[in-house]
Amino acid sequence: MSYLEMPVPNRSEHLWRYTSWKKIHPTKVDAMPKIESATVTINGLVTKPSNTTSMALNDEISRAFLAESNQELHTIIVDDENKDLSIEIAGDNKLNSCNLNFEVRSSGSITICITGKTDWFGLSINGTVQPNVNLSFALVNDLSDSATMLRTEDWSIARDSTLEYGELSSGGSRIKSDIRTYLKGNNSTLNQNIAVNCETTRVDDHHIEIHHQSGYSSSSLNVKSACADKGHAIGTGLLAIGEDCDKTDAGQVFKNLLLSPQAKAESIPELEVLSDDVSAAHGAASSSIEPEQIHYMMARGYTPEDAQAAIVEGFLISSFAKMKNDTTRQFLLDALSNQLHE
Amino acid sequence: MSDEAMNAVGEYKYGFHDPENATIRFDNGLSEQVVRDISELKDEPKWMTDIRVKAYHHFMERPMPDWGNCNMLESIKFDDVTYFLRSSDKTEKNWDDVPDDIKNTFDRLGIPEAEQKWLGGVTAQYESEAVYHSIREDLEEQGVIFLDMDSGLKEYPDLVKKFFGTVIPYADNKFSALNTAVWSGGSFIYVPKGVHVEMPVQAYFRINAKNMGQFERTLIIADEGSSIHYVEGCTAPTYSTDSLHSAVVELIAMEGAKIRYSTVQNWSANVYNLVTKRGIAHKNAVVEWVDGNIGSKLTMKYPAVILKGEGAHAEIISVAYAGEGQHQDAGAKVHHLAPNTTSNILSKSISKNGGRSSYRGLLKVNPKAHGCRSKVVCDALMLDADSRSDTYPTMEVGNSSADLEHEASVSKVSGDQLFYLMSRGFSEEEAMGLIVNGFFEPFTRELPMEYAVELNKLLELEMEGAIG
Repeated sequence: MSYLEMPVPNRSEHLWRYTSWKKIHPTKVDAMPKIESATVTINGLVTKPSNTTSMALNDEISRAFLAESNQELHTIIVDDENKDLSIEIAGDNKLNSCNLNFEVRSSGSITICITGKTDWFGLSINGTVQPNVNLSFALVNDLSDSATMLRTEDWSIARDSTLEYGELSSGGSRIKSDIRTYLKGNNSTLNQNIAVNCETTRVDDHHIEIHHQSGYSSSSLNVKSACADKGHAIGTGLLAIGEDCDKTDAGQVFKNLLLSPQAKAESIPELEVLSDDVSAAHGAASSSIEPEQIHYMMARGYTPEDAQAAIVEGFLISSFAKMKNDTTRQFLLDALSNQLHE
Repeated sequence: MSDEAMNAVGEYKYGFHDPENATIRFDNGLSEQVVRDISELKDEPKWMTDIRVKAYHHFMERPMPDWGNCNMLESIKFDDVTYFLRSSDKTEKNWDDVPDDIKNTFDRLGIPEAEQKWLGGVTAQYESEAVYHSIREDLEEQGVIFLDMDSGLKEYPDLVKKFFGTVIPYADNKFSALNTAVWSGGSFIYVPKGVHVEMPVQAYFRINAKNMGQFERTLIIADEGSSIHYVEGCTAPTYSTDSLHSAVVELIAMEGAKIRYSTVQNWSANVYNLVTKRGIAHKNAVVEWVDGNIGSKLTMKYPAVILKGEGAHAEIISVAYAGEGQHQDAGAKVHHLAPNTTSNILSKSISKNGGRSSYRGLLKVNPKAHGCRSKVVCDALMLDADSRSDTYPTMEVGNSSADLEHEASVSKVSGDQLFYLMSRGFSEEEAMGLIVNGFFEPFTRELPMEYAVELNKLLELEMEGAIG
């Protein structure tokens, strides 16, 4: 079904409850605007798209929209010769998007930084992690303050493989991210760590699905959001453990730090379990900074503002503490430091 | 009962039924005329008839919920349901005056014995209306009103009019609209200022007839500084066709009051149990829901508390047991509207033999609700690979000073625990039963002892055959 044939999703749907399709579409929902390709630079070289997007299999509206509005696709292979990729995506047109398809054949790392002064940015990522491969992936959203961003990611992890995933989301004004990972093989692993920083009126809506489709797989999701001013962080998650997925070990944690009276946070970590011999847990917590913590820092010479900033930095930095790959971890920490101190 | 029917509904302790001796039975199906006829039969004031008719039209126009178990919901045949059945011409105050067949049913369920021992009052509802009602004299002397809802409307129309539908308006959801249109029976309780009802009062709801719909309406008002514990039990016979239970329960706890509402729902596995329960807690008031869901085909029930006054507290403890062919979609909702309000939610569920249990919750903090605290814990136990457990919690935090926690876990019974018990002489089945009872213990300890004992027995029955 093409985008224009699809019904506009209802806000009662879990995925669209907080950010409606109308709010995230670049023009009007019944339009299919032409969207310019963003500039993609890989390890310092500007690259051209190598394929066109497949439009036949998209039954989800944002994926269909991204595939049809810009049919240029970058297929990127991670192998022994090309194992550590530093990708910069710049969107400086009014409407920009980028479609990436990763085929991960060898262990390695990918870092992606999204920048640009654009009104609307679309990003679609498809990734296949092949057997016996460890991939460390990091993404930083550093778009200009006025940008709206729609992003979809679909990852498939084969047997005996690991995807280490880190993300820092602090750019743009309204962000809708829909990240889905399918653990398809025995002993596949996902470690997903996301830090969200919402200041001024920034709205960041993350929908994260993790589907365990094989036994002995494990996943861990750790989302930390700091909301100041009128910032609004939304985290909806679905942890689905299918039939015949015994010995699965899965956990999700959503933590929100609310720094002003107008800040808001929503957490909906859903759980669907169809196998019995599994360990599945999720948790969510929202809180403000304890006055005792500020007082402790002030007693050591910090101003109240600096004390709060240090606590927020520590809260967000800890999102990436468990990432094992030095390249991706340092990439995320540097980006976080730049954004908090700019 | 035919073998086919028995296979459809499984073993069920309260699956017996009596011959139907209705004095009035409406034809199956729902129409505006049915709604008006119920109201006329009860000689209700015009305002109530008008609400019923409005609710009927809302029910007809409103689509089915597009969430939850949509397949099961769509299979409800509203035209096959009997919306009103009167089994006795009046509500008796003396147990001996209750018609013999109905009396026998409640005797088998142990209601009169319980009343003598540990209850402050009892309402027994059979099909659409209460057949027996009593309250201890000392409570009556203190001004406590405990009536079936029909009598409440007749004797205290102004009080009912003031509060009816204020917590759950008819347009709240499709099933609250259905209940408002055809409600019959239920309890009406008013506890005056400062009065503490020390012994629990109980209502027992029994569906006897085939294809019966039971739509009781309960309204409990605890005035300032008062307290009451209300206990509700439900059973139905096993038939091969489905019955519908769609109740509405409204609780109003005024300043400093406390209401505890305990339910052990043990409907047979052919009953759709679609209930709306909500309480309002004013300043420093406490509303507690203690909710056990053992039976039914599909239960959709999310007891809610609106914390409207500063310092109010909500406590919701629920357990669900989903066996073969059952879906227990239960949960809890708390709205923190006022500052310094607190809530605790504990949900425990067990799925067995392909049963499905879901926790669906909402925790919402209003921007003006400073200093709120809440904790939600959901634990699920899965006893075999055919079963399913879901958790759908929602936390919406609009105030930075709120302190909220949610945690959930799904697991199976630990082999080590089974081994430990079996090494001390228990069979595997007994060991499993003990572990299940222990898992539900935070719930059962909140029930009156007789209910807790009964619940443990029910769980043991449900657990039979759980091994192998």
